[in-house]
Amino acid sequence: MVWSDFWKFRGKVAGMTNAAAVPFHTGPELNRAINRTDFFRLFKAAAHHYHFDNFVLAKISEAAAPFGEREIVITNVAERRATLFIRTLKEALGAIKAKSAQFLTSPVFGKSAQLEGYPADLVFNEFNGNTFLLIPLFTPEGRRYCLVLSGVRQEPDQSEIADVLLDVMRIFDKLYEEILTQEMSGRLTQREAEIVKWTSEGKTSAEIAIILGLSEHTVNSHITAAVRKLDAVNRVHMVAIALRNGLVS
Amino acid sequence: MAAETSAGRTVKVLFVDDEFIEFRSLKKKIGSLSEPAVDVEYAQSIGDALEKITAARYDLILLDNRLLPNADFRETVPELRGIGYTGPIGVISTDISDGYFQQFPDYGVDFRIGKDEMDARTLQYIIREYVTYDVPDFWKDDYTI
Repeated sequence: MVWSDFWKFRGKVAGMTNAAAVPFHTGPELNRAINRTDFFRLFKAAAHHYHFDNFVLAKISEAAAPFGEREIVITNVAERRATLFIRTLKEALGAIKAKSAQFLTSPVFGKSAQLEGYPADLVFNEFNGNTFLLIPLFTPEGRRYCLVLSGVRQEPDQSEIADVLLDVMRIFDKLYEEILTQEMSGRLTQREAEIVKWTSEGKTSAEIAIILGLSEHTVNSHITAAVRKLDAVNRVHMVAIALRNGLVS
Repeated sequence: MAAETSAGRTVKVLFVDDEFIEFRSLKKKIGSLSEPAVDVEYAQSIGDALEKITAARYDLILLDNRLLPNADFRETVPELRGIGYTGPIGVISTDISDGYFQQFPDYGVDFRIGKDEMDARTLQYIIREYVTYDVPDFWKDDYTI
């Protein structure tokens, strides 16, 4: 091996070492995240990095504190297990902490035991004995969310909670920048305007998907966003508003 | 798509990769997934995938980014969309760090994911997000409800 090759090899090894030192959820993938699945990947990686198995990002609900199933934004908990997850979280945090989630400003944690009134032999609860960590999150406008992590592990100390908090806040900031601000904006993106235009031509989601070379899911997502941005109640109303405002001709 | 995929039906997934061993690896990783039941089929090339899509209905396509001879998603996904496939397509690859991956929505790709990130719960999330999702009735095509 000549010296130039040696230095190249050494640089490569150093690069690999550095790459391994940076956790996935705080590395380059954080800056690349642009859709919900990218954020699923980041939150999942963050949860696993801190030895948690489950994560739920949810909007804080005053009606069903800390949140109900409908408030869940992204999670790796199976749909049919979400109710059990929330019940076990409430039990782990205790009634007072769970109900005061809308006022929390710093993380809280607790460990779950067997659910009261649910005999162990009758209910399989995979969240039994989990440590739960609830991290309150805020948007600049004051909208409240939380990330709940759970897993079979010991309770985190203050230093670890600080690390988790920082990592989660960085991911949530990016989520806000890429997705939540878009949701709040009243302006249609180029793609949304294009889809509204095709809807005004009488095309269905499936037809628009074929015309634009997209999936029906993507078309429906854009329609959902346009309906919300234009404050419409359905697709016809959306088209009427878009025509009235000159967004499509 | 969403409305027609009932919760109880087996979700049909087409996995496209020129390495058969990757298919076996995926089957092993998602082996424990039963909610929902998943039936994964294999296609070794984009031509094979086009034939399969024409012959049967698939709820989801997981597509390896690089297929022989040397095509990436910028060429392969428009081919799949070109024959009228409107289901979700996810690009799955060992390395998704190249800059051009940021353009995936422009090419009809729904999501990208690393091969090492795929497991049963991740596939469960993908199915929930892209296959069995529900659009509120009042947002659907008004003349179909």
